[in-house]
Amino acid sequence: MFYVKWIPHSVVLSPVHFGPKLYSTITRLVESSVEGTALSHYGYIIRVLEVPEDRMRGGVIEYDSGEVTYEVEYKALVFRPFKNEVVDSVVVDVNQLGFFAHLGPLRIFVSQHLFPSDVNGIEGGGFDGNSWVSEDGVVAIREGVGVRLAIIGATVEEGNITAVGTINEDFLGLIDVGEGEGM
Amino acid sequence: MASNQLFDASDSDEDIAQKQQQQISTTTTSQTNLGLSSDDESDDDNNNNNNSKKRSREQLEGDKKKRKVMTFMDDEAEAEDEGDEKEYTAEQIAAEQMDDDAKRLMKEQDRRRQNTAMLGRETNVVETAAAIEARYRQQAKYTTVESGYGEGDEDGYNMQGVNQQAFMPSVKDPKMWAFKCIPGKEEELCIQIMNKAIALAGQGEDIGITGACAGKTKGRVYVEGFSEPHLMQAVAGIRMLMVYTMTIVPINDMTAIMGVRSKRKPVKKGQWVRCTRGHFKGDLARVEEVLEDGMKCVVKAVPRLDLTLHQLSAEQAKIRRKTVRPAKKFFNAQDVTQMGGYVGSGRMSSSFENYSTYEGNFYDSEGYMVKEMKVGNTVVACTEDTAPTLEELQEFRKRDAVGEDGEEGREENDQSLLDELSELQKDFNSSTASKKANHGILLGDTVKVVEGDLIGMMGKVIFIDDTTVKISPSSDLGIGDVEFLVDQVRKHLEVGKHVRVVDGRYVDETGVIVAVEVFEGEATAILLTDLTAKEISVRVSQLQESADVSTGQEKLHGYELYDLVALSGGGSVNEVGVIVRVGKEEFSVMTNQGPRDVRPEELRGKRNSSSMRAVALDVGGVQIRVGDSVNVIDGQHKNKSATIKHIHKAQLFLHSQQKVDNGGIFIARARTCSLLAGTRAGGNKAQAATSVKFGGRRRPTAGDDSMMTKTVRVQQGQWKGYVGIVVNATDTHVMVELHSRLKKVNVLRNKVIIVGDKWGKRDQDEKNVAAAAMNANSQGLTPFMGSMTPQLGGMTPMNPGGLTPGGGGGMTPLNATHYGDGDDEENVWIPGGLDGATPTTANSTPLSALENGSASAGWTPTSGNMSDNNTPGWTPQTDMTPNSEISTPTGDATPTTHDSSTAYTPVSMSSVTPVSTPGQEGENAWFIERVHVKLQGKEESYVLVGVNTLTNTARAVGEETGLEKVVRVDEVVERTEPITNDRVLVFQGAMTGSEGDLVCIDGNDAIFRTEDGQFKIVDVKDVAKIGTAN
Repeated sequence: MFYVKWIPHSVVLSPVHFGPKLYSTITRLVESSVEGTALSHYGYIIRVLEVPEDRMRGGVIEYDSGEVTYEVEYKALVFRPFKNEVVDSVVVDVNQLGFFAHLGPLRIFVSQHLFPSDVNGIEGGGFDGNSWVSEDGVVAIREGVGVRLAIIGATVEEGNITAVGTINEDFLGLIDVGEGEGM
Repeated sequence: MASNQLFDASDSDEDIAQKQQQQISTTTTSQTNLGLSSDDESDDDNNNNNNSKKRSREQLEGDKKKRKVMTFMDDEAEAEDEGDEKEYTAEQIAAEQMDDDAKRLMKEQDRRRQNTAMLGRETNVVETAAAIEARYRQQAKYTTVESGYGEGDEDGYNMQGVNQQAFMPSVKDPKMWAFKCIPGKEEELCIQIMNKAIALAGQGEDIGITGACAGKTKGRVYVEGFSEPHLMQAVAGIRMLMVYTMTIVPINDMTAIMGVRSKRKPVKKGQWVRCTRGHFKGDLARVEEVLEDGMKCVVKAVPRLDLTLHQLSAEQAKIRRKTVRPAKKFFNAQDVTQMGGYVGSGRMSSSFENYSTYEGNFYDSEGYMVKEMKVGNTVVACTEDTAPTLEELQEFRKRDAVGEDGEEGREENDQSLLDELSELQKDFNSSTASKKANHGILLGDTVKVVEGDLIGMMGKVIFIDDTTVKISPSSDLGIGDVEFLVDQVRKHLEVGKHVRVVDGRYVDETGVIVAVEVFEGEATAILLTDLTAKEISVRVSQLQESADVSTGQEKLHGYELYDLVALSGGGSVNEVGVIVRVGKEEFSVMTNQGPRDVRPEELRGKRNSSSMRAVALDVGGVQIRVGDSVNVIDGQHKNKSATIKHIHKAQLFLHSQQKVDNGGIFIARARTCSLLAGTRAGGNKAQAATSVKFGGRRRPTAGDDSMMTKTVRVQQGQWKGYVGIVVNATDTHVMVELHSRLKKVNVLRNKVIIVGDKWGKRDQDEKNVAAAAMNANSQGLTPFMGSMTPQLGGMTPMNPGGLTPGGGGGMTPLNATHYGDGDDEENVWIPGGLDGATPTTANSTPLSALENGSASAGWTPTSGNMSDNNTPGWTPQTDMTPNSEISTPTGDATPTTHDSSTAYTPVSMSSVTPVSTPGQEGENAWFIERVHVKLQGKEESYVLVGVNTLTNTARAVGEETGLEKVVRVDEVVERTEPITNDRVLVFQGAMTGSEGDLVCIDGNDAIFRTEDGQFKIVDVKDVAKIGTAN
């Protein structure tokens, strides 16, 4: 789900930046350092919308380096996956354990254990090296197809989020067979 | 079969029958009583009797039948042979019980008999009934009192608390004597004694003893009675009983006699067993075939052969056989015959297969020994303590592995070995796991109540001790925290939770639960691990919820996951690979031959640092470095995009999160990859730019190895005067391989001077270099020198005649494109431009030059004292322009040096000289390549090229006219004042070497913007206008 949030951030500036363009430097640094990363409480920072000057507070000069830490707040568009959230995503990689789907920056893994039983081999179907094919052959999950899945868990690690999803529920699964090879 | 047999030596048939009846009723009555009492006491769960707890758990495991029959199980026996209890068959236990019960009955009856002087038929049914009642009332009292300490369970079964002391023999009880007899006849003798007692009873006589039994010891019969003479009388005439061996059994040992004999565990096919005797003692063997209901088996073991044995004399061989334990070795018929032994062939009695025979043993075609063994005698099943270790299994399997399909087979084998081990462990654990108090519940776990009124409730564990857990319900039920017995709750983990494995084979792995399944009553979670993206299945009790992401084991012997390491052995000498898995004692290393397992000893060090500095060229000739994202456009991994983890020569070790095997690492050739746009290393563009600017990654900590391969002379110390080649370098020391001695010595870095390059080529001005080395052994400077040296050395052979300057070298068109002015391309080469850096590398291949970083590493802005004298023409900036053209000019520049060596030589001079002649600073520091100057009496702006600092001359090329003339420094009036938007270069001061576009001049300060967008402010005196780099 997408939100617009105010998020605090601290920027460390070396004295060389102290000048008329200080604020634009801070803005630039904020953008470059947070955009595309994920914060555990907020999710992915999709875009920094605003870094208003009135929300920048000059910080403490580090006694040993002369650098100054600025506490700033920025408004950002964030994308946060939720447990049980149903999302549409694109399959990017299929392997014998399941498949990986991308939803924007979010990578979601769907294990074969979380496939319907007619796809994961328990009641037929299975992995043929490129795709997971259902018993009746109607559903084939391969690279590039669109799937609707429910997120059942997410972990935040080093500025990135990995989620685990399931397609073993009603109305979940393949929704778009994709256009040829592309996505 | 347990061989305990006991009969009551009472005086009549009826009495015996009666007693049997009593026994039966005893069982039932006591159970009823016990049931009642335990119901009464069942609330009292919080007892502290550990013993009873343990018992209760064991009993829970057993089947009901067993529980019932174990009612009278002597606790003494249990304590002795806990492990074997489960093997009891009901009859054995019944027999066992009968003993104890009968014993007790016997005692009671004896007392009664003595008290009442009643014998034989005098008892009537009513009296007996009364006596029984009295007795069981007493017994019930016991249990009622003691069940207060015991745990009741649903069967109402409660025997834990029975006071054992009450059953222990005392001085008042009959004494016990032991007789030796022929082994195997114990039971028979007991029956004989019984028959005698019956016979005597028939005659109305008392045999005079209270009982006889065969204990667990072979060849011993125990007889109980109050007086020795009676006893002697009783056993008189019993054949095979050695009366003279009669010894009294101390009271304390009496119970031991009645102890339960550990039963031989039947073995199963495929089970691992251990030999107990002879040379094979302790050796692992596998059951191949089971005979006689698991009492005998055919095992397969690694033989211990002494092939030299038959060469010795019979006596010697005998001694040898007894003293020397031969090493484990697979049987090989050829070896044996070679040693002069005779290998026969034959069949074992139990099988139809034909085996080789040697010295009375059978050997199969694979070299294993096949032998029939008695279970419990010569082999015992492996227990938890004696479980096979990995090494043993490996040893056992070695044969298969080598014999079959080499490497691959071995890997699979190892894998299956591990699986097997874990299976074994599981087997052992499952017996102990249930004993484990808390099912792996830890503080903070989410648990689900599985028993009791609040079944289904979930909560977090906030307190835990041996028996109870306190949980805080996750949904507010208004009941606050609730306490439960440990057994009443189960750990609950949901799909999607991130967990850490806290126990077992996969300990410390973390991952996300993708499924929870129930295997054999035990909840098992399937994890997708964070590290390798593989699936593992782990018992829920071994998991703990955890947010942190571990990468499994990360370090071993100083090596970490994803280190680039050099391998020893193997095919090629310089094989390198990336660690893709760190195991308990070995690594998996991905090499270009695929992954393989390597022990730490086999690694020859990390190559991370050289990888970090390495630059490769992608398909478009664009530089790629570690950390860049690339797309594989050809080969096996076509269309994969991945991040470069390491570079080794033209090999890229790529990492993709989406690859599940080999830790996501795969290998591609640099030429088959293309740099993904906008994915410069580091992710942070500013940083990337910096690193580009300063010529790749600087290594802040690691030693600078620009000294490597240089020829040096030691200046001080023991090795003073010796010349050698630097083979290793640290921050402080260099290791010098001396030319004159076959020796490598460690010398302080500042005690050596560079006297030449790898090939010993000497610097033209050794003194200068030496001086520089001496006064500036800072890291920054050294590479500068290092890079200079080959340049000069490299030049020499090309200019044999010392071509005069000004000999208008031909330019290749490509170089020309880099000229600032564009006109006069034919004649002008501006060495300070893009190509300026090239000569540095002229002596080596472009790539290697970049790899060892000498060209650039030294040119950090911090390079202090030297930078003032720096030749701006040598700015690394130009070297490392972000558009990554380094390779192109490098390649082209080399021919240029052939053509226009005239132009070239001065370059080198100009760059060297400032170092050695610091006096130049301030006055003519700007007299360097590319600088725009005004000449005396000339309006036009000239560009300096081919500066020769020795003669202080240069060629000045007219900016507009293209006229060229040789000028001396004093002919030049002044450098052109830079104006806004001019390309400027800092030629002195702290920022020497920086280059950028002048933004404005503010008083005495010139503000310019560097390539990477940084603004810099320097004194206007320190900057000079130069021709643009391109």
